[in-house]
Amino acid sequence: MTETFFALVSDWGAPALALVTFLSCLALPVPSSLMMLAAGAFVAAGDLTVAAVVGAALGGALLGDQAGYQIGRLGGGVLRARLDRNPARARLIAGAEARMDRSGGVTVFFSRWLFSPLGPYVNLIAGATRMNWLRFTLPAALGEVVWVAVYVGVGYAFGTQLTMIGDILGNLVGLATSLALAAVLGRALLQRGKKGPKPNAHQGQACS
Amino acid sequence: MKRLYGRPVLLKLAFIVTLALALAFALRLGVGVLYWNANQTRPIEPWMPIGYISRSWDVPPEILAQALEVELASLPRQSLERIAALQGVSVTELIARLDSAIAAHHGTPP
Repeated sequence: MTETFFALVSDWGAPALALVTFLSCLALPVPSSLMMLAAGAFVAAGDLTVAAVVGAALGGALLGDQAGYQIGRLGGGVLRARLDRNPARARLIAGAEARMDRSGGVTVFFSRWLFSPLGPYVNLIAGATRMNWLRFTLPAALGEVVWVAVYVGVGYAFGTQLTMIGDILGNLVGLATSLALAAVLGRALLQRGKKGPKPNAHQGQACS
Repeated sequence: MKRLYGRPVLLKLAFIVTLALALAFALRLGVGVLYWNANQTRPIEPWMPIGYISRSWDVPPEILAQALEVELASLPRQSLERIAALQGVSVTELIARLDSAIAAHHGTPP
């Protein structure tokens, strides 16, 4: 499967990369990070130019973020209600939203690259909670620059071991993301422990 | 015992699941790093283009193009799979040809 996506970069080059980074920002399960690694390796091999790769990856990602944000904004309440039907997802989203209120920009920035599996959902939440456009766009763009630079750079440097380095980076991001979620959930548990059980679960939820 | 069925249980469960996930990722990461150290060589795969193979196996692209019986300039960045399809031969055959060309270049038996 991974090889199929490597072949896509190989045969179609930068346009394939732009399409995939765009789609990955909309929560479609495409291995955009792996494809950026491959593109970085192909730059090192002289098969692609760095300008085309960075331009395509960054362009796709920035457009994808904006699309996700706008979908969240337009879909708003309807989407939120749908997502909340799955309790695990609802919890995840509620946690992310609470964090968003406090430190939205930081969440947006780190969910581009370090906790990248959360990125598409953060886009939707940012739109749905009507986070200020500029306060979303600036950290999103900055985070995407880091994401593209890290993966294309690592692909460039370690490209001869593409499959293995892809696995290692994937597991690293998985570890960082699950630890971050565990930290958020653990903190929620601790706070609950201090306060005791809440009489009403919906108390204090002031939706604007 | 009401709390046992309420939200805190779900919260605890989600917490345990994320910790288990973290452990699984950490183990896979460890195995990956160990494997990487132990296996520096990888086989040629169908998705690889000539330039990539040239760089990874440290062989001039001209030698690879010659082994594949293609013009280097006519195949910018195309995967072996694509080249095989264009030539009407199997990828395995192309990989075998490249393997012997690389071995010959490095002066080792294939």
